[in-house]
Amino acid sequence: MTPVTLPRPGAEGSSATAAAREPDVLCVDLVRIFSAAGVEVQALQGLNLRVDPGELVAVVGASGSGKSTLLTILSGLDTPTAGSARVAGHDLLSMGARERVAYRRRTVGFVWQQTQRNLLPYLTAAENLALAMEVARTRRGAERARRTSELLDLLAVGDIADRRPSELSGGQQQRVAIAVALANEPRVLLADEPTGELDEATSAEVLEAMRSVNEELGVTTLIVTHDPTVSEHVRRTVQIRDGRTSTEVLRSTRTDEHGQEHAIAEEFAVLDRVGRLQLPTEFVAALELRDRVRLGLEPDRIEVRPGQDRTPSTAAEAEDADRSGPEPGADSPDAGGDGDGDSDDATGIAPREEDR
Amino acid sequence: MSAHRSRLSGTALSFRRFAAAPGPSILLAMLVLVAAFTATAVPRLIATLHTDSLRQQLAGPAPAALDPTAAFVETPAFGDSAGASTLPSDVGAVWGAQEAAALAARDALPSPLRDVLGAPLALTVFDPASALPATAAAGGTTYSPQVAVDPRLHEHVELVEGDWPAAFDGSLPPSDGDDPLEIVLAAPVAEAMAWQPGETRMLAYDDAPGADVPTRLSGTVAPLDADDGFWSHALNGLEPSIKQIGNAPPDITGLAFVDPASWTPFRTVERIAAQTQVWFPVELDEIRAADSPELIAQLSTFASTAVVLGPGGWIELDPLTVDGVERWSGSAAVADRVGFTSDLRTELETAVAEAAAVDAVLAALVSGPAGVAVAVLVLAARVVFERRRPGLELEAARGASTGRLRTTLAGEALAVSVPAALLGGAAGMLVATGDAGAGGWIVAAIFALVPAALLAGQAGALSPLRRQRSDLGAGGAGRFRWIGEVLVVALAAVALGLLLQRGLSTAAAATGIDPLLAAVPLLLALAACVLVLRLYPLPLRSLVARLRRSRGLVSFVGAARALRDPAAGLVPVLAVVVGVAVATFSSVLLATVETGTSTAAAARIGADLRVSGLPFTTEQLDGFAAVDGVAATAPVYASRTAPLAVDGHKESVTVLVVDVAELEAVQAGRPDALELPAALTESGSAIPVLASSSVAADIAAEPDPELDGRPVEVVGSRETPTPFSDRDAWVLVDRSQADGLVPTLVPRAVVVRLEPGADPDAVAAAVQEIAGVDAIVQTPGMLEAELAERPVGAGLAFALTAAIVVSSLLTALAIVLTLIVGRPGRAALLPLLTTLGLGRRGERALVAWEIGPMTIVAAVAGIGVGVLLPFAVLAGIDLTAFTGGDVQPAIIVDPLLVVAVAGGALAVAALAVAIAGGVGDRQDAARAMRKETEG
Repeated sequence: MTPVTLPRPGAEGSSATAAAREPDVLCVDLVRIFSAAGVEVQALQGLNLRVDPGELVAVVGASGSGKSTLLTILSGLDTPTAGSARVAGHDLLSMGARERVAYRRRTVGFVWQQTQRNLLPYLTAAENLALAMEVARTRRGAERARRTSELLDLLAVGDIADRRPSELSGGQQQRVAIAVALANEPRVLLADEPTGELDEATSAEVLEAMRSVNEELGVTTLIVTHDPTVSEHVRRTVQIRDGRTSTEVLRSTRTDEHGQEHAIAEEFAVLDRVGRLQLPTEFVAALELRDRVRLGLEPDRIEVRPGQDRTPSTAAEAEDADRSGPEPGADSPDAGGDGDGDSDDATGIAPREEDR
Repeated sequence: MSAHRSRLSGTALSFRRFAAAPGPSILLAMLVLVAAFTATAVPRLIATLHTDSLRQQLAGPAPAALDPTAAFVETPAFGDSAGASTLPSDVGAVWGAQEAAALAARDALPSPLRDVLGAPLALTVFDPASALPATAAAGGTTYSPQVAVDPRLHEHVELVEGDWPAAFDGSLPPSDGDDPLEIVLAAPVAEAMAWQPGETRMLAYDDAPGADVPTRLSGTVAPLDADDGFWSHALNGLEPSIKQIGNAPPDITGLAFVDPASWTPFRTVERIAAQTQVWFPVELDEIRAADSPELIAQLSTFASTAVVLGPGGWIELDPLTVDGVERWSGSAAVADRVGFTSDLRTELETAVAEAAAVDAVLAALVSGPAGVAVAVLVLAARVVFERRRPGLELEAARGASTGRLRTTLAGEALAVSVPAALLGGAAGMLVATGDAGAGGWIVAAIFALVPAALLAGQAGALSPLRRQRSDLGAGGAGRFRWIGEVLVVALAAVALGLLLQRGLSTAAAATGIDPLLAAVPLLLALAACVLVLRLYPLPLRSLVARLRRSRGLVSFVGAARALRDPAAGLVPVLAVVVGVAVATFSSVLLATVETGTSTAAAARIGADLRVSGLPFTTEQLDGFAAVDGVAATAPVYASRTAPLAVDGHKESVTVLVVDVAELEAVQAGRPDALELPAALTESGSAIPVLASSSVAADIAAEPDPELDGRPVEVVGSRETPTPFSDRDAWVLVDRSQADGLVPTLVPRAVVVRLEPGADPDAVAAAVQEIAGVDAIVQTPGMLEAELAERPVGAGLAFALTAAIVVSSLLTALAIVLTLIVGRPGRAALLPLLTTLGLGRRGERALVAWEIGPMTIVAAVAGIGVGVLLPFAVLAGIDLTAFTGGDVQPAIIVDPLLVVAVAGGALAVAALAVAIAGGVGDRQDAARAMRKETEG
């Protein structure tokens, strides 16, 4: 029997090296409940997420899936109700006020969707960076000026350092925001819909900027978005549904025999620590799965069959459906271990291939 | 697109933050400035008002009545002062000892009494002597100069003619060949005595026959300052006194000043009675109203303290020898301990009582606006906070500690409010000159620190995550709100009850501000706020229900917002309630005092016009009646004091003799007319009289009341004093019944009824011409103007007007600030409504709806409080200090004024809406929409 392991897709490097280092972001069974006026809303319902140092991950989900809640928790602005969340050695649940201040100053940097939340309108780009350093009390004087121009140059906005946000294009605003987020050398960069207000071309530009920052500075980066095209720019995309991570898409490039480069995306279901996984809705609908299912352990997979007694006619259809495609839940654990090397038809739920 | 110069230092960033939206901070600074200005200026203005009023009070009586004076008949102590006095050396050698003793007595007094008393003065005046010219015919005018010694004669008069009196070193009576005694007279006195400079007359004393002193008038003098208080002590020093009794020839008296250094030879032979006064001139300019209570206590102690002015004992006098026969010998007592008396204390007490009334009214006026000022300051601090909020929340998200946020907010507040408070406080000091201590600065300091404290306190509310609504008062924890409201209403009720139970209190000369009196207006206003906040949803609810069915979008949305998401918390409601209440209260008080002054003036005149002060001849009386515009005249034929035998002792009662028919004609139809019973004119065994209530009460207990030995019968009584006498105890008798009660009928006062439409001033001028310049002609209008011009009257009118203006401004400011605070909510709504087709007018209407219902209900409540307040507060304040009348004036609620105040409040609110609407919503929908999504 194949051992069931944590869904830790090794986007890069081997699982062995990743396990040796503590992840920069580790959420286990994270729960956040908002209660107001007698109504309780479970925004996060036991979310699991692991991001290793230097990784670039996109968290994708529909509106209300809980992704923004996750980000506010990770940025230290909100506290989870239950579960555990650790970011770069800080336990977000037990963090005191003093530690929280230090955490916001040096551990995380963030970029929100609205410029207003990233930049002060009455300060120039450079001054916005300076303010971040002033708040964190990191650099002063010439050092501060040096760091400011360095970062602005890195984000290719050095020439507009003396402009105010209102005088910048949307893409420039977000790049300045990224620079501000990086001002105090955070270990983790969080971005909430950084491209939400941008057109497609500019979005791509900003995402590329984030990828290059991730590569050049090695800062662990987590981008939360509802925009599925973001996943085209990152190696690993985690899908959140109903407050839980449901599936992941891993992306790699492969050079075929003709020297053509192909981007390969594989989608995995996520299995949590205690073995729970979410079956994709269309799978459940196709087999009319409800209430109970039958599981069967095969040497290389697990079978999930409808639990209710079926009429012969529907049973036959179900049988067809059963055979027609591989069962994703059974495949994903395997994929977690060696996703990089798997072939297209072996493991993907909906393998796609595009030219880059 | 312009490039800016980036400045990266922390200070530069702070400045950028301030410069980004300086408006709210500048507003805050202005508020602090005005508050600090008021805090330092108002107490000083009030102190000035009290001092002015006190000086006016003290200007009434003659200085001699106020100066603490010791008068004694003993011989003053003589001798050198040993350098303690400032007298010239020759005079000092004689009068120095007494002056030094008086100086020492003054220096031993505690401050502030010591500081308001000038250097001691002295004057010794002998009994009159006869000084007839050699040619005088018997039975003619007699001249009776009084020899007077003024140690500082040269400081008080200057020579007009002739020389200063030479030193007298002869003996009395002078031997042959001795120089005569030399005197100077004031020029009018010399003229009245027909005494030419150089002329020598014999000074003869009745009780020292044969000791006649040849006396030469060496010169005439004129006062250096006729208004100097000295002359009120030196009676007849400047002007002769002409006495005429019956048909006897007139007797002319005046002071004859001798050389002060020549006193010694004169007094050792003196056997003429002389009275010496030693006094400390009160320096009125040094008296501050604030010191009055202390001065009263010190004067009281001083009055009961004996002051040592001389060694005491006796001195032998030279025997008087006439023609070789010793006619007289004896000794004279020398002064030792004397007491100083003064009316200053009573005058101060009167002024203090008046000041207490002023303070009480001002306290009742000030507490409300002060409460609103604090409330507006809170609102302004909130506006600053909301303006800084996004930036600070971003800083918080980036790791700014609460301490840093607090420092940032408090720092900005201090940076603007401390200079503003200093500036305002200094300006207040410059504007008003009165000295009111450091209290104002403490208040200014509080105003300077409160914004910083408020802002720093709100730092905890900065949440980088979510915005919470924190409307002051509104919402809140329901239970605490109930407790607070019940507490406020209960406090107001208790305070009101205490105040009403206590009755008139300021007449008892309480000093300082009465906290209860000051608190009641604010408490009542707060209680009204509670009611407004609780009650205004009720009519609104039905309005919303009705509007739901109507077609208008704006009115429905507006009403629903006002009901469900009220922008108005406690602060704007308080501002409107207090503002309107203060304005209403002020207008009621103004009307009450104005009417009261007018009533008091009319009551004191008792007619359309009064002429008094001199005995009038029959021709003059006929002349008054013949003046154009005079309808009737009624002379008061006599006014004399007579003893009333009551209960075994005699009381002195003023007897007024009038002609009942004449007086009735003059006073017909006046509210303050004396009710004259017909029985007054009916002859009987007893004289029928109308008596004042006090006299009537005395007589009622007496079986056979006798007035000056004649039986009287009270046929009527009257509570208040009459315009014809200042005293409470009086009886009024008809002319026909007055035989024997008064010896002669010489009218000294005439009351006049004018024709309808006659010009009082023209008639007054005509009457004055007939009566002569010395007569006093008064109309109620003149008296009213005079009363209104007194510092208290003018001060009150100013304070009330200022209160109306200030509270209106504060109300307007509170409404504008409320609208500014409510702008984000409106900004969220407007784009939505604009896309639904809302026009610019609709936006305005929405702004109006935001505060309209609250303002209307609060204004109504404010008017209610303002109308009720006088009945509660004025019961405790003696308003006669302002009206100059004898009775507490009735409270006048002038409906026109109240309507004007209400209209004014609504106009202020409408203006505020126009301003806020204009400032807030000048942006197109697209931009607003975009801003909304960004926000």
